[in-house]
Amino acid sequence: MIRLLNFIIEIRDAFVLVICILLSFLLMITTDKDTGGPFRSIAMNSVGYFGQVIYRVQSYFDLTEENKVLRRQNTDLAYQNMQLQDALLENLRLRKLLGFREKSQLQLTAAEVIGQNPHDIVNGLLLNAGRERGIQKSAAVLTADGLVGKIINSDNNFSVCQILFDPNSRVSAKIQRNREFGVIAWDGGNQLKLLYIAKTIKVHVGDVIITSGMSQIFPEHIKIGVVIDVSIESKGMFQDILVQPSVNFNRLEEVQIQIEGVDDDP
Amino acid sequence: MTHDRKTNIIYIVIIGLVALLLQAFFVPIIEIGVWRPDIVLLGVLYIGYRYGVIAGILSGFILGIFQDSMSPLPLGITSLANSVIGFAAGQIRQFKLAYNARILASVILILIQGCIFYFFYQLRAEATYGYLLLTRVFPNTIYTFLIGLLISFFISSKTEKI
Repeated sequence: MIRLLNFIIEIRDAFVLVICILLSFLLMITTDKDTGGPFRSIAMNSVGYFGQVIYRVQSYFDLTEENKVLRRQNTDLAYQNMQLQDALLENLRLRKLLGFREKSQLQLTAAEVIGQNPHDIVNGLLLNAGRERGIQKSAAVLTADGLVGKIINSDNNFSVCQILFDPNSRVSAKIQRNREFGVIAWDGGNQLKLLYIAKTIKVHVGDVIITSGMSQIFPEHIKIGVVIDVSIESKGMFQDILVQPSVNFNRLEEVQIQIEGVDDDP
Repeated sequence: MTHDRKTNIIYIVIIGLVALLLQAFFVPIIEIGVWRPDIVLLGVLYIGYRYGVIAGILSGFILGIFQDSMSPLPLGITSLANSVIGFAAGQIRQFKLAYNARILASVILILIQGCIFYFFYQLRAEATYGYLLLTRVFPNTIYTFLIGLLISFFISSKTEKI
């Protein structure tokens, strides 16, 4: 036995090699993907653990660059988001306008508001549509919400629209409920006045004011606004009637312009 | 167990761990198609040259088991090939070869390891042994040898050249 042990010690290198080779063969024969599970599990866990550590270290050094990229992406996305929101609102406005145009019997052309008050003496809007698109002087300008004003000047590609908030603006109007005629003018602030309504006529807050059709400029039945205050205390024959315009002149971006049946107002 | 032996075992474990980690995380970065250097094999060779036959065989066997565990191959293929190479490297150590001769021996051992590994590999694969020799064994041998030279160059100032 001792001799055998001595012999093994003497050839221990080869003995260890043979043992290892035998074990390897044994593993090859007996283990397949499933039976090698514990070995594989240990190896994968070890590698996974180190991989995680390396990834964390690498991530730490990449943080600055990653932050830069993310900030840039954030800015881009915020900008895109703003553009999309803007496009959504524009889409809603245009849909509304389109619906209005389809319902309307009028021949209309669309224009965008590209400027405000182009003339010192006129409260108006600069529009990006002109004679090339059939726009003539005195054409009615409106939106789906109601009357905006009229064209007072136009060249080939641009027009100037006098809005209702102009000291010289006068529109023949009527109260929708009782068909009483009057004239709409600017009150100097953010409202309109309905002029020439006799004190004997009953006017209520909430009455809708529309174009009368008596003018050759403005077609009939276009909404102008809603009565918000009625007073008969002033001297004279007529009431003081304040009208809230149905169009928000501060937020106008697109308008429709009548392109047919327009004659110059004398 | 003497202090030197303990120190040697610690070194061997560290070398093995480093080789495994490099094989797992560094080699995928530098692999060219299916050609990849075997840094674990270089570790086994180094251990064999430096610490002797037993260390070479056991490190080859254990590191081979680890390598096989990380691959879909049956356990034992790499451990068998690496054990043989660990043994051979340890034997070559006893001859105290010159640096150039040791380099030549290293190339031959890397080639032999590839031959052994792919011999067993082809038993489970559809490719023929000749095809594997041409497309895997020879390119991998060259790639592994070049990486070994590079590593040897970097560590030669501190330790004995392999």
